[in-house]
Parts: sequence; C-alpha cells; structure tokens
Amino acid sequence: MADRILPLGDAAFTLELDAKPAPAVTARLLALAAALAGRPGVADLAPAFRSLTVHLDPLTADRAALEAQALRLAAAGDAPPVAGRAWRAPVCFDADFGPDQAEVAAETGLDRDAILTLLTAAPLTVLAVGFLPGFPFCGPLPDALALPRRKTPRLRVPPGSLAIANGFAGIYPWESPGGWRILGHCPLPLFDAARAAPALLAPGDALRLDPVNKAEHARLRAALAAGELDPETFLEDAR
Amino acid sequence: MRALEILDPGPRATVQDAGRPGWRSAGAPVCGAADKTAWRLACGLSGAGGGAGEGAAAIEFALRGPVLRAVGGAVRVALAGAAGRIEGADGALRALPAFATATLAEGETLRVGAVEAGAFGYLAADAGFDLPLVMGSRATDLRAGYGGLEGRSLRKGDRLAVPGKAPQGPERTLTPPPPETGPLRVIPGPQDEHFTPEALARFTATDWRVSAEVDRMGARLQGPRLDHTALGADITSDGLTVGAIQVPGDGMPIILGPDSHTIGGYPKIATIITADLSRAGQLTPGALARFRAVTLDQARAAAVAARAALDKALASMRPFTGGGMDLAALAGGNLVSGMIDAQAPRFPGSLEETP
Repeated sequence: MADRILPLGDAAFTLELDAKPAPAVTARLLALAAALAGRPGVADLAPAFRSLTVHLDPLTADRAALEAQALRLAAAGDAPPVAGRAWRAPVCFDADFGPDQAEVAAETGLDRDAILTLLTAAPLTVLAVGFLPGFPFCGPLPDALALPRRKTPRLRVPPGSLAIANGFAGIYPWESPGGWRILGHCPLPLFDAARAAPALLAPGDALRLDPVNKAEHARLRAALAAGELDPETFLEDAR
Repeated sequence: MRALEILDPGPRATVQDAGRPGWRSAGAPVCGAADKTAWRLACGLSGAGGGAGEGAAAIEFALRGPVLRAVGGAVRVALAGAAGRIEGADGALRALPAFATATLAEGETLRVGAVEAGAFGYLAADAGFDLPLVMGSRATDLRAGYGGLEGRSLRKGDRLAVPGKAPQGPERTLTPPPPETGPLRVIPGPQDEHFTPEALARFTATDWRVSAEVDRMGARLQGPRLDHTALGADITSDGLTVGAIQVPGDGMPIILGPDSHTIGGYPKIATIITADLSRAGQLTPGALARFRAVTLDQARAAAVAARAALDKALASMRPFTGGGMDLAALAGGNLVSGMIDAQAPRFPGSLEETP
C-alpha cells in the first residue's frame, strides 16, 4: 500500500495516508491541510484519523493539480508540523455520571480504580472531530480499555458524557443516541457556534483527563455554563 | 419591521441557504437547501439573491408549504416547486403559481400547496430574512440546534422579519430548467474496492426503491443486497459529503443528505455528481432511483451544463402578468393539504449513526 487519492464525487477527494490512526499521523494531516489551505478552488479541508478530505469547487478547481500536490506533499513529509493545544479536561467519575463503570469493570477484568487510573494517566490526542459538531475522537487508549460499543446503544446520552469504545475516548457535546461506554462527565462547553472557533477541541490537540470531585465538578459546571469561567483556563499552559 | 408570520408551518419547514461549508473539521455538517437549484430560483425571483457569497435564506418546506401572513408591511414572495393561493383582506383570492412572485399586502395570507414534484419546495422573501449568520450561514442545523430560526423548524406563530421595504415594479416569473431525467450520475468510490464485482454491477443495474427512511440526513434505498468483499463493511472513518452513497453491513445503500455527518465509518460505493445533487435531494419515499457511473470529465461537463441551465433560467426572468384569478389553480387538488401529512418523511434521527 501507499498513500493514495480516493475520489469522493466531483467536488471532493480524499488523501488517504498509508498509516494507522495515531497522533503523529494527525500531525501530518494537519500539516498537509495547512499547506493546501487557500489554494484556488479549495472549499474545505477535513482531516480524519488517517485521511484528509479536500472539498473543491468542481467548476474552478484544478483537481488534477491539487491531487498531485497532495500526494507530493504527503510523500515529501517536510511540511512544518502543526502543533495542537494541550488541555486538562476536568472529569467527574462519580458513579452517577458513569453508568457503565461496572460493565466496563466486568468486561475488562479491572476494578474501577484501575480503570480510572489507566484512563487519567493516558496522554490522549484528538485524532478527529466529527459524528456530532465538536465531538472529539481521542486516542490512543491503553489496550486494556479497548472495548467495542455496547450491543444496544442508548437512545439518549447526556451532553458532557465522557465515554469509551473501539479504542477511543470521546465526550458528547450534545444529547444524542450513542453506544459508547459512559464513565464520567466533563463540564467543558465543547461546541459554541458563537465562538470564533466553535469546536473547543481541534484535531491534534492533546488532552489529559483530570479527575475532579462532585462538588468541584458542580462548581466548574455552573461557572462554565454561566460564562463566568473561560474554557481556555483549562489549557495546560494557562495554569 | 415587516415580517412573515407563520400560521401553519406544514409538515416540516426550515430556513435554509447555500449552506455552511468550511466547518467540517469542527464536525459541523454543511446543511443548506436540499435542492440548490429550486432554492436559487426562488431567491433570484424574489430579489433575495443567493449567488455565491450572498447567502440568501429561504423557507424550505417538505411535501406541503406553509400558510403565512404578511405583517408590519407588504412583502414580495416567490415560490419554487409549489403553487399557492393568496387571500386578500377583502376575501378576494389570487393564485400564485410556482416560479412566480406576488406581493402580499399587510394582512394578506398566502396558503402554499403541495410540492409538485419531489420532497421540497422553497419560499423566498424580497430581501431575505433578518436572521443572524451562524458560522457564516443562516441554514438550520436541526440536530445541533443552531442557525435558521433558533436552530429549529418553524412553528405556528413564528415571525420571520424581512429587512427594508417591499420592492416596486412588476411581479416576476421565470422558466425553470427542464426537469432532468435518467439515472443519477455517480463517480465510483471512494471505497468501491470494498464491494464484490457482482455488487458493483448490481449497483448500477438496479432500480432502487427509496424507503420510508428519508430525511435531510439521507435516504435509505431498498433493493438487492450489495455484498462487501473480505475488506468488510467497516472502514477507518473518513470524510463524507452530500451525495455520497454509503453501504453499511446490511448491504442497502444510503444517499447522504445535507445534514449528514462529516465523517463516517461505512464504505462508500459511489458519490453523486454535483450536477445531479438537486435531483437527488428531491427523492421521496417510494420513488425509484437508478445510478450510472461517469468519469470526472463527464461530471465536469455536466456541472458546466447544469450551471448554464441555471443561468438561462435566471435570465428568463420577466414581468409576470398572469396573476389574479386563476380558477383552475384555485380549485387545484394540490392545495388540499390533509392527505399529505400522513406521508411526512421522518426527520432527524431516523438515519442516525451512533458513534
């Protein structure tokens, strides 16, 4: 296999890297997106795990040139790396917020404390944002926590739920149906259409889960919801 | 300020425009009109515009149009894809055919009929709607709950404010592009290698039946099962776009609509070309759909032709003198609304993937 171009209709193509999803691959995709941004006819650039989808204007874009350029840039690998931001995401693991803790313990053979220790020690990277506006797919998770989705998805997962499945951790920005295993709650406002950057977390961002107790969680949640606390307070370098 | 007051929204009406491209990396769907051609014609007629960068918003209605009233001043409106009937303050009736404008005097009511062909019709106001731009667009994202009017579909009692004053001059009409027929043209891929040769042949040889599961997220088709190769029905999630046709493990294709997710983990057998997206956006339950593979060069020629047909339709705009009493239209069955609601498509959620 090699890096390759896959056609996505006449108004987009996907550059798929010969690589498995990983933080270093996301960094490469971001560098490629930065190099292609602003080229004539490019309408949008969407990185995801190991691919970059280039949306273009079918009437004005020189598609063949863009495809060749994308492959060339991928092969050269010398685009300056794009660094994401580093976040410390407060998460309350109180049982009330983690209805699947017992299930995950039973299926992994680990006790609750061991699960939370593994989860909070893992250096996570946002590998893609999607499914819902602002939903971060974070990884890699330790192998011991790699579980499939629940057999029967929930019809309503509460917004802010921190959940794991398929080797990823994610946080639901909205109430939604969902099949991931819910372990806790993060009060950060992950999506706000009124912000200049509506999605709080972007592909390439680093994330560490910071356990907070129920009282602290309630305080942060109220302050964030009221707009009294800037979510960027939770950037590592803002401490 | 002038406004259109919704007396009855019909089965489902939302505010839509050219959409919200540029935010896929944040996971935000493009949304926007399902039939860009009809939307553009309605905006061009009304005077609201809608060309590149203009971002004019219109009401997109499913199956049957709304009943609405001009309040606070006169409003010129244009309809695409459906006809309507205007009830004057004195009880007099006027017909408003599809692809024409009428000026509603303050207090006059417009009752829009059934969509004539397909799923969606459009109603535009002369100066567009005074709604905030959210991430550069007024398109409603129903699942995320932003854009349009408070991020939701229209309800009885809503008022859509129209800036400025109603335009002077004669009413207008135009000749829409002739309806396209024939298969929906597709570019194979991006994951055609996930399908057996038999499945690929079957895909373009089948008259697919559009199931009842149709909404702005997508349309699920019914027909012979499309078998995956040993590569299987799961891929590392990659970018989606409107018109991409994904085939999950059950082997039944789904055409993705404007509200679809930005990334997805099912193989996509083919993607409908830009020139045929308006047609694909009008598929209704029970309709038949067939696909034909074309090359990128053919797609480009089709895009140029579709653009020329749109420009020709807009250039055909002329004064409309056919208003007034039209007994045939007024008596027309397409204004009978009661039978339509039963087949209202299911809206967001029915095609929801769970992460």
